[in-house]
Amino acid sequence: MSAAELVLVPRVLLALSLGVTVWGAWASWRGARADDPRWVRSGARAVFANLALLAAAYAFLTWFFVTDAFGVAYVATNSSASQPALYKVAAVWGGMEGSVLLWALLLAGYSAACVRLSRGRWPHLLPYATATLCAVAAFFSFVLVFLSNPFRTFAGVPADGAGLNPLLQNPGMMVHPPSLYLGYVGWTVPFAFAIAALLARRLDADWVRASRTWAIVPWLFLTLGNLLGANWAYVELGWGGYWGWDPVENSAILPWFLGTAFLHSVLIQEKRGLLKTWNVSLVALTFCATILGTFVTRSGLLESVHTFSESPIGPVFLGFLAALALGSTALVLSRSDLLRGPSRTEALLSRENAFLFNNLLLVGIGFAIAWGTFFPILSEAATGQRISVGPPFFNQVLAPVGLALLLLMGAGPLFAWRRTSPSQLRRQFGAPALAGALAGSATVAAGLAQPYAVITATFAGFTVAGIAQELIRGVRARGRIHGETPALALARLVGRNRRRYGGYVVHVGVTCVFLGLAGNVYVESRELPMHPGERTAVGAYDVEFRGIKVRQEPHYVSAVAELAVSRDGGRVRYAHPEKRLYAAGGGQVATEVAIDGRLLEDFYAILLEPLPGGDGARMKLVVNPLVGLVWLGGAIMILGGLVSLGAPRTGAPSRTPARRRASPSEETEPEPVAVP
Amino acid sequence: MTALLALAICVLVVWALATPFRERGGRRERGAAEGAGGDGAADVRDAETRDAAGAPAAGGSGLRAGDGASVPARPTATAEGAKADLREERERLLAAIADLRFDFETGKLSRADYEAEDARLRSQAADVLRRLEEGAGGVGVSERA
Repeated sequence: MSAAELVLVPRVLLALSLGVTVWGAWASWRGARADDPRWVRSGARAVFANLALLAAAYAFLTWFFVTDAFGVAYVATNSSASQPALYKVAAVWGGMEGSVLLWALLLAGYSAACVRLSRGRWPHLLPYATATLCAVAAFFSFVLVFLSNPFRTFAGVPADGAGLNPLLQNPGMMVHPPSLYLGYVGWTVPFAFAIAALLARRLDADWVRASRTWAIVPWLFLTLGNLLGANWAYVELGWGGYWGWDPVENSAILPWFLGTAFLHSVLIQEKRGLLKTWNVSLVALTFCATILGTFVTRSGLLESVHTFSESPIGPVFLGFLAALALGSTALVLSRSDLLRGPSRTEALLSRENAFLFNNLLLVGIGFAIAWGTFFPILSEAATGQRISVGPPFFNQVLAPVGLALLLLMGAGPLFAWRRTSPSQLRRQFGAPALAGALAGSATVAAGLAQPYAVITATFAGFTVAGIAQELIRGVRARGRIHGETPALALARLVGRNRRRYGGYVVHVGVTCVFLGLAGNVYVESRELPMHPGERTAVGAYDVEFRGIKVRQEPHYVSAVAELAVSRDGGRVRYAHPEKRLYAAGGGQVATEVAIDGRLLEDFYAILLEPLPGGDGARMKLVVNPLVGLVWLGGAIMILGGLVSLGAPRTGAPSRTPARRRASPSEETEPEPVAVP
Repeated sequence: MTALLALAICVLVVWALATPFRERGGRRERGAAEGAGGDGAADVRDAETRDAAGAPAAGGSGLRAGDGASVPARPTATAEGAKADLREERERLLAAIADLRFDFETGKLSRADYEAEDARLRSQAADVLRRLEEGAGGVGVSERA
């Protein structure tokens, strides 16, 4: 059976997906409103049916790619017969239509997991949440069926396809887009619970507990996705850095900042019943930011290194975004009477206030990023002239705010909930402040006297020491209260307060990233033409240009330079930066950098262009200090997120005795509480 | 062949979505055995468990005693809604008392501040428990040590 005949089946699957999601939204809504579990059950079934339909459609598309079914237009545009098999699989999401299908599939997976795992836990919220999830899924199915269908066919079958964009032919591309999408899409679930709480008028902390895990999961994937994206930019784009404040990068990091703020502020609602309006608004804002990210990536509205596939669905996304923003705002306003809670904290020196300032900084960073990203459009609308702000704007605005955030991250855990005794401040802050001062002094003593580096090292020392102090004192406290050995106390302290201590691990990771970023002020770079036998020095590195060779591969022809590199006269290592010319994509050129990574710095070589005559090349040689700490910090952050993810679920599992059930605060020491 | 396959998928999907309406028993009977993501798994919870869960929270009047179905709340300010608020407050205060002890043990509070705050929280918790007992026939007794 040919692909042209077979393609009818996935087309029907997509059409059914649209019908099923519309039905799911309607049935869940009606079931919730009419007290009728039959409708609710049918709505839940629609979620599972949608997952099955989209999984089958995705499998069909993958099959078409693997079997070089160039009769399918999307396959012909994004693959070629000679493309390696792994990149054929990755090419499924390499273009517009496939990435929308992936988005829809991931949303279906999240929705099914949410409905399945929340079964019997949040009966007053789940039908409305299901309706919301289905409504969002219906939008994506609509886009797939009418605007971005990956199963359109050609009248005639071309002999070969155009091939995947060479920039996307990188192992990281196998993981980066799916993890970023898992991060984007996952925020639909907390958003759905927030909307459910608003619709059901149940604005206590239940929706916060219901969405707790569902917020950590996308946060984890956004962290991973951004990290992989930065790594991809570092090794593939060949400009020497890993974060260029590109509009698409900014759109991916924006929901990360807002989501991080949400993960902190919900704790205040759980603990104190504060910030109800803020939390529902923040999660709606985070979700809108994920749609905005998709819009920016796919609309081609802003110039970006990521504009692989511009398409006309941008305006549709913009309309959806506007509907989401207006609908959420209207819903929040209509429930303002139920969103009122205690209006203020009890004391300035409290953990609540540290969290509040943390939220202000995180959201402030988010808005600064959004402002800088969309300034070209705003300036064009206002003055008719498109003005881009560029990296200097982001660095100048965000560096001080980021440092304040780092300091607050260290100070926050040192405060008590509700109020901290002023008399205890010295005891709390003494050791961390000393550690910070020592770290700053050591940085200066090492000859690194740039203010940004010294301040970062000081705050990092303060933060890490504060976390260590929290851990040590927590273990001692458990030992005193429960008579446990230090090892047992540590295991139980972390095991029973995973969200808190997982969060601290994340903080250590963030500190590590900050130190890595501080390395940017010591970047050394040289750009020069080089011929065989010529030597140059960059930082502590001695570099000899050994020559350039041309290599013919099946999909591209490559110019490969050979550099002999030694640091401080030590052992010679060889680096081979390349410039490739791909046959596919109309002869697209791609840069393959050579990186000699060491613990505290990278030697980074870029072949900018071969020189006329063929024996030399224009080279860019960069020494990037502390880049490894960015990747290490990211890995620690993910580890911390995983620790937090293991926090026990709450929400009334069946037949659990009341006295054994977890309290709303899983950060509560397990001791009997006697009330007079 | 492909048309037949597509038709079969359509029929299967319609059958799956319509099943809840064809099963024996009306909406009331089915309710006890379903969560929102039901699909047949029973989730029968007694009133005490649901009370402890805080499931019927503010404004909620939709849940019927012994039903346990995925029935949403109605936006009416009823005694049940007030009770749900009290339950949430109870949980929050009990957690706050434990947090306070931990903060004291880790050196964030002076003894005087700890004792004053602890007494205040316990007094509030006692008041909440008393109001719950008056209104709910003993809900919250289990938290007494």
